[in-house]
Formats: sequence, C-alpha cells, structure tokens
Amino acid sequence: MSIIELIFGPQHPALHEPEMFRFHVDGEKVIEAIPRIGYVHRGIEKLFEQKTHVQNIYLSERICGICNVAHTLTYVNVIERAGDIDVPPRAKYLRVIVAELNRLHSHMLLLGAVAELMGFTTLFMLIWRDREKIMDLVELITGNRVISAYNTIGGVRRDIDSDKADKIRKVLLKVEEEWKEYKKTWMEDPTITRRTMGVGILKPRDALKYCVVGPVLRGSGVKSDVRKDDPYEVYGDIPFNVVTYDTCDSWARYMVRVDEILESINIILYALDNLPQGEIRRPLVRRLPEAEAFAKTEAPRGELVYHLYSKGGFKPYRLKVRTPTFANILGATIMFKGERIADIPVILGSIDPCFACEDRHTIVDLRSGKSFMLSSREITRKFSRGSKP
Amino acid sequence: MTPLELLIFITQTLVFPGFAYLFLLALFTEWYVRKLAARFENRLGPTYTGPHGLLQPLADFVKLLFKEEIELKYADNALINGTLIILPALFIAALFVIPWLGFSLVSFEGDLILVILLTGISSGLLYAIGWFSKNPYSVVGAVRAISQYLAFDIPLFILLLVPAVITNSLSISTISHKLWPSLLANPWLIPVWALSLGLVILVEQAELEENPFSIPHAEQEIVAGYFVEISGRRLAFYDLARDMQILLAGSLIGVTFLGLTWNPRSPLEAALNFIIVLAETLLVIFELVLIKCVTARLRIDQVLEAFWTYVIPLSIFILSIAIIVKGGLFPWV
Amino acid sequence: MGLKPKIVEKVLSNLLKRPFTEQYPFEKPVIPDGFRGVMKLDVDKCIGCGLCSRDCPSGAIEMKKYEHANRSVPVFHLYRCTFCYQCADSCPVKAISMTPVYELSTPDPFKLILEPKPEEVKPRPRGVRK
Repeated sequence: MSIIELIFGPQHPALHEPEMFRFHVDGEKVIEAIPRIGYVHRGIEKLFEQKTHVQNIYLSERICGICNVAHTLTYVNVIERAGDIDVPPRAKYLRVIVAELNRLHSHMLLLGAVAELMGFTTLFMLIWRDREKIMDLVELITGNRVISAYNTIGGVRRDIDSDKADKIRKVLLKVEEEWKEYKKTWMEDPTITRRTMGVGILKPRDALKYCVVGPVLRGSGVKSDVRKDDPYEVYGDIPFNVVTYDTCDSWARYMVRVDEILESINIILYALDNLPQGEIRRPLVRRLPEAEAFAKTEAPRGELVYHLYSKGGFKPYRLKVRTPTFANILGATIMFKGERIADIPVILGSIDPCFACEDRHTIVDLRSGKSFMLSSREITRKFSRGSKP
Repeated sequence: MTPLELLIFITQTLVFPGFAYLFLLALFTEWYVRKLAARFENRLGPTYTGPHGLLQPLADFVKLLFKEEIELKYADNALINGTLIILPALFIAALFVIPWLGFSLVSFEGDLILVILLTGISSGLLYAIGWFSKNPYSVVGAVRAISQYLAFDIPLFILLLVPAVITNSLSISTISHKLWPSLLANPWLIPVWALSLGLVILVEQAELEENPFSIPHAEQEIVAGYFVEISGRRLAFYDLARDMQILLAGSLIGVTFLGLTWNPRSPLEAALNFIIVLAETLLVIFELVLIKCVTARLRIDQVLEAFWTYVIPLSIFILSIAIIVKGGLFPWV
Repeated sequence: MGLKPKIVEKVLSNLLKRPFTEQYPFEKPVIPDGFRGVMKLDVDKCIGCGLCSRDCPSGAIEMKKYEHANRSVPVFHLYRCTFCYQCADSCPVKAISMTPVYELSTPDPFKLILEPKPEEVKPRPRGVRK
C-alpha cells in the first residue's frame, strides 16, 4: 500500500475531545504525526482580564473540568503570592486533600479510558465504578461531583468534620484494596502488557529536550515532581514517594499513574490524621496591589503554571496559563514515529491529553507562514490590549 | 414428494427450524451476548424494551430499517448492497445444516465442509464491503480482516476436522450423534478432544472478530473498520448477519464438539434434543463472551505471529494425534 | 496465551453481584448535605447590597428594583448559573442558602428565573435607603 493520510479527529472514538491528528501511514506503520490543535479555543486568557479576581477563581476551574482543583489551587496560589495573603494551616491541609482526591479521580478516569482504548471494556467499567466512589467523596466535601469550587483566595470554602473524615478514610481504604488488584492486572495481564510495553518510547534525553512534564516525564525515568521539588501548600511536610519507571514506554507512563493513585491515597490518609485545628479561611481580599507573581503546581497531568501580572485594582492585567498537555503534545509526536496504527490510541492515551485545557494558543506554521487557529483580525484583537486593564 | 410433504418442507424452511426461527434466535443471541457482557462488567444491559430488555435487538433492527441510508458518492453501492444481502443468507444456509432437533433440514455426508466454506466466503465478503466503501478506515479494516482470515481459517478447518476424525463422519448430524459413543469407545481420544475444544473456542473468537481479536473493526483505532460507511438498512442487515455469525459459531462448536444428540423417534425426544442443542449453543457463547470480557485487543502483527507460530502447528499436532489414536490415516474413505 | 485468573475470577463473581448501575429516573441518587443545588433567597434578610451580583462569575444575578417596597432584591437567572455559590459566600447577612434540588431541565428557560413575587418583598422596617 502506498502512503495514506489517516486523519484522527476532530471527531474520533479514540479522542474524547475535539482535536485533529494527521498520520502519514505506510500500511500499518506511522511515518509522521502532525497535531493540529485549537478546536476548543475559548479565549479564556482574554476573559480573565475582564473579570474580577474573585470571579476568575470559577473561570480558572473551567479551563479543565477534570483537573479543576489543580487549576483553582494554582490560581489562588498566584493571587496569594501577588497580594501577600496568608493562608491558615488547616486550609492548606484541606486543599491538599481535595487536590489529591482530584488526582485520584483524574488518574482513574484516564486508566479506565485507556483500558477502553485497548478494547478492554470490562476493566474500563470496573475502574470507573470505583471512580464513582471517589467522586461521591468529592461531592461530600465540596458539594459537587466534578466542579468542586473549593479553593478560594485566602483559604478553602468548607470544613470537614470527624464524620466526614471517617467516611473518607473508610472509602479510601476500600478503594486502595481494589486498586491493588487492578495494579496486578495492569502489571501482569498478557494482553495489556503486550499492547503497552515497548510502545511509544520516549528516551529521558528526548523527554528533557521536548520539555515534557508530569507522569510522562516520570515514565521516562526522570524524577521530577513539583510537589517534591518546589513544595507548595503542605507537601513539604507530608511524606510520599515520587514514582518513576524507567522503561520509557507507554506501560511505564500508565504504571506511574497506577502507583500515584496508591501514593495519593496515602497522602490523603496522612493529611486527615494530621489535620490541624483552626480557621479555614481569611477574609476575602478583592483588590490586589501592583505585583507580578508566578505559581506552579503538580496537576494530575503534570506541571501547571500560572503567571499573573497585576497593575492593581480588581482585575488582572494579564494572566498566562501553561497547561501540562501543551507541554506534552510535542513529545507525543515523536513517540508515534515508527509505531503502528493500532498503537496510536495507546500512545495518545499515555500522555493523558486534555485538549480543552491546551487550546489557548495560536500555532503558526513557519513553513507556510499561515496561522492555523485565528484569523488575522482575531489575532490583532487578541494581542492589542491596554485600553481595558 | 406428495403435496403434504411439500407443505411440511416449506413450513420447516420458512418457520421452524428455518428462517423465522433463525431470525428470532439470532436476535435472542444478541440479547444474550449483550446481557451477559453487561453482567460480567457489573452493568445492567438492556432493560427497557420488553421483559428484561428481550425485545431490544428487535427494536434496534426495526429502527435501523427506517433510518436514513447514506448513499456514498464514490463507493460501489450496488456491490455493497449485494454483498450485504448475500452475507446473512450465507449464515442462514449454514445454520440449516445444524441439527436443531437432533436432525437437520438439510444433511449430507460432507456438510461440515460446506459450513466451513460458507464461513470462509463470509470473510471474503466482509473484505469486499470494506474495499468497495473506498474509505481509508474501511480499507485498513478490510486489509486487517483478510490478514486475520489467513491466520484463523486454517486452524479452524483443522480443528473442526478433529471431531470428524473421532466419529468417522463429515456430516454434522452424524458427528453430533456419534461423538460420545466414539469417545467412550476409545477413552484415549478424550484429552485430544478436550484440547481441541479449548483451542477451537479461541480460534472461533478470531473468526467472530471479538476481543482479543477485534482488530478489523477496532473502534478506537479505525472507527468501525470495514463497515464504517454502512448505515440504515444496510447496517440492519450487517447486524443481523453478525448475530447469525455468533449463533452459527456457538451452535456449530456446540453440536460438533459437545455432541449429546441422537436421532429422535418421537416429538418428545425431538424437544429434548432441541433443549440440549440450545443449551450447548448458549454455553459456547458464554465462553466466547467471557474471553471477550477478560482481554484487551491485540495488534494484528501479534495475532498473525501467535497463530502462525503456535496455533497452526498445535492444531496440526492435535489432528495428527487424533488420527493416530483413531488408527489409520483417513478412515472414512 | 495465558489468561489472568484474577480478572476472570472478578468477572465471574460479577455475575452473582447486583449491578452497580443506578436506574436514574426510577431510583434517585443519595444527595449529601451541602450539595450545591438551586439557591434559596431569604427575602426578609436581604439588605439589597448587590455584592452577590457583583461577584457572580457568570452574571446570573440581576438586582431588581421593587418600587412598591423601595428596595432591590437579587433575581437569579438559573440558566446562566454555574452553581459555584460565590453569592452565598459574599452575602454579608447570609440570606442565600442552598437546597438539594438539582433536576432543572426544562424546555422553557423562563421557568429558570428565581424571582421573588412582589407581595413577598415587603418594605424593610428600618434603614430604608433613599
């Protein structure tokens, strides 16, 4: 067969969000992968500049529904650094608990979805069945299953009492027990290992060169975790391991997440046992001084970066967000080379793509000089600012 | 043939155990597969239409008949339509040979070969659907289907010959009648029989294109493979053919490898035979669904490698052992 | 190819278990306390300061002037609401509370406007603002 251009997306069963990949395939072999991002561009960064700091908490959590806690956590961190706002210790622990619950449910979502991508519907159903329990816990603590709206500037919005803490402990221990069985399945099941091992190799050198982050980087054997390297909230006080696997393939990237689930359960249990007493939030600060601040956290998909520039007042002058998927997508294109069509979903799943969070960027094709995403008028509008702080 | 005999023959062909019966049984098979897979996955499966969702496959079929059919501009529509009419017909023809009541509508020495031939043709037709659709996904799916056919057809044929060797017959009815007497007459054949039964279910899974061999229509890779462009009435016929294929696989393996039927002398014995054959069919389908539910999808190169290096030599080995144990090379000649 | 007995065991044991699926319209899920459903406004407590309207991230709250009582009261446009409850947080007199009502889908968006009836809005006994 000659070279076929196989188009994945924007609507495709392997993609859960609209994004397009062009694969040049020779028979079953992928020669080149070209991502084309921008289908879910919503202009959120511009919208940030037009809303107040308080409103932006809820806007930031809409960048990505799955890792919404990571987004609000980074956002309130950047505001607290800019405004020099102090957070009570109990709130810091509660933030960690909810952020880790969020990580649990995000990793479970991915591992289930990937099992489905490999055609293993049973594992998909079973993992997502357990994910329901985690989401019920999030609902119990924050009042909603997915969009938690939990973090706020200067603390958290709800407290947990001992009844809730006991319930969380009980459910987590049950999930941990189940999860150890799933870990065995992921490690030993002949069809899963045959599909994922040795597929989509990303050598540590390439991983650093293409600046991939999070579980993708740790799957290549590089020990890098913002929670350990640059502890925010109370991660410095909580003992946990940074999980790395050094086989550099898709299997390693999945196993990092499988082990991180067990680590996260331990973190939550530790945080619940060492929860300090006291208040949970400071009075709301609506106005920031002229300041510039930078915050990064370890979102479920990797390092999440917020950069705020405030000229004073109620609204930010500029807020830049760098989401982990945007950092990982470039590394993914080299993973595809030389693999087969059948491996495409497995490799794509292994970077845990979240296109909705990624699409806030203009991509200009240097060869043709053509802008992919926005018309020239839109670009002018996007980059000419200053009239409205 | 007297007019009465003709009337009975026509009734048998059209109603039982002919078209109407096979149609309803195929829909029941779909319900059974869906419900079973759902229970394995701790879900509910079809619930709303009919008691326990029994009528859901019929509702799906009727709904698809009324849906809009998209005529493709560049595809060979006439060829696709023709293929999709032939496809269920092939399986119905093969199902006529199954001895549902202990005896079958059509039976002759060598009908096992006919069934194998018909399933082989069906794989070719699936390839044709994909090729005529002229869509990148369907072409890739068609090529995958034909590669997989090359892998599973030879061991399937060889393994289906094992009960034929055991019973000295190539007629499915005779195999079914004589399987247990022959096995008990020569107990050394029982391990050979057990091994071939285990292997044939795995190979049959490849013919049905279910996990871990659901490669030709891998949804997450190539959307729907060779039937990606099929919609409306065509899809209804394709689905029907697929249900018939699962039914054929279940009943063929059930009847030839589990046997237990005899030539009925009274209606009561015929009914007993019917229950036995149905139970065997559902048991085999249970196994097939179980395999489907505990595996992930393999890659086409892995499947080809596994079949050509392990399954085909193993099946030849089993067949030769069966022949040696039975004594003589081709005893039915 | 070998099969992993663990998952086979789990799958077979699922046959005997009750399905996990909730048949939603027929059996309702259990809603925990503090679920963020439709909000409820205590009109008598409200002082009409408008903080909820200012902080609402989706612009779902409109301050409506009730001339007969000479005061402003928030009107919730639920079709825009994201149920973040910043309004309840911002309210200085805690006049907004939450209810566990979540079944809101309707073909008529005007049903999703939470507006106090004019007779419910009584003039405030003291501190009436000009």
